[in-house]
Amino acid sequence: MVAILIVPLLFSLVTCGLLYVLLKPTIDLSLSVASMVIAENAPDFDADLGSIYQGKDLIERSTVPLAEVVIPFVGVHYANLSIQRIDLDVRLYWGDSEKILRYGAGQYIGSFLPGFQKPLLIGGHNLSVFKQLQYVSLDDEIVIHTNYGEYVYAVDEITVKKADDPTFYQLNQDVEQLILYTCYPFRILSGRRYDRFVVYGHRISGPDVK
Amino acid sequence: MKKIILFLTSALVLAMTMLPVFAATTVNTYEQSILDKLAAGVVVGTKTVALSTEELNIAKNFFMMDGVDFTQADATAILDAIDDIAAVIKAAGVTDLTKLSLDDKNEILALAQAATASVASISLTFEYDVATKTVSILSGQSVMVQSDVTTASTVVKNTGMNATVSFWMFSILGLTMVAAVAFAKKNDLLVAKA
Repeated sequence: MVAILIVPLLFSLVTCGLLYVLLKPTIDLSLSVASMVIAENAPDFDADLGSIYQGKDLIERSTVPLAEVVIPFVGVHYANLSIQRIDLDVRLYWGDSEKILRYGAGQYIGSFLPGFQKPLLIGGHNLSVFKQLQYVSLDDEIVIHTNYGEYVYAVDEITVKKADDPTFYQLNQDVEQLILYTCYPFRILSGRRYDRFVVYGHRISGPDVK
Repeated sequence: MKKIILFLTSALVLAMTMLPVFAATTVNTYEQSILDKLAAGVVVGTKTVALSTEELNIAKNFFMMDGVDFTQADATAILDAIDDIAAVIKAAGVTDLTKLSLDDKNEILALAQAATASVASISLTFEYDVATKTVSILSGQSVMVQSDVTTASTVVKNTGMNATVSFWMFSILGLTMVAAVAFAKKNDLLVAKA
């Protein structure tokens, strides 16, 4: 009885468990890509995460009152981030948990919204949301379109840094520096997990929040 | 008279619709006192234990959120809780908060939860997720603040998929299977069907 039933069953369970652990990264990625081409309905990225982004055309102005700005709840899509030259156009969420990063670019909530003259720190996955970031060049324009203003940042530095590099960010500076980052290198068999492809930019237009 | 009332009512409704429903607010003086206390930290021995710049920014963003407008009473409750938490840290004698004992961590958690619940101007809850080691402050079901408190609390997140380990594990498994079959064949261990 033991030899006929329990041993094969046990062996199957152990094998399935092992295969699951080994295959999970590949399955997750494959299913994610497959769901975009074989789903019956268009994917609803807002199913689990909310959105306050309205995508309206905005009038140009030099300042915007604080009362017009909404500090979003964590996990809320509040803006769009785009770099036209390299066909990058993604949703920007407040917060950067694992779940949020599956849906779009995520902003660290210890940084600040556009217009506050303080740094913004935004991450995205290297094989999906920020895949195109590898083609960015100096002086490219990064546009963050919010409900209260459109902000344009010019790329002034592109580099690779370790995730724990103390010069990676300075979130207490009174300068509106945009920091985009993603894992590096841009391939599935990276081997190294501690490098980040980092793009720094400074604001060249957009209203100050007063 | 009716026309005047109608006009005033319309003006009032119009004014109300023009007001932003969810507007950011400035950090008031009571909230600033909390930020100042968090920034000052607690002295343990010769070292000061305080929130990092990033964590203070999180607190500042929280105070600017719509609906967050602490009164003097709210601030007093929070400031008292910060003092109680500081006393726990001082008594523990640690400068690395991850090295606090489980009892101390639970005590701090209870103090934080009680303090959050005591804020009268807005209904807040303080939660700690054991699985992800994440603390959250919620208003209803909406997450206002979320931060992980792991040993390697990271500002820069993991934003890539690395299948290297899986690749090598599979390769080793495959080679092992090939070797097993070769060994079995060589030693006539495979039983042919009758």
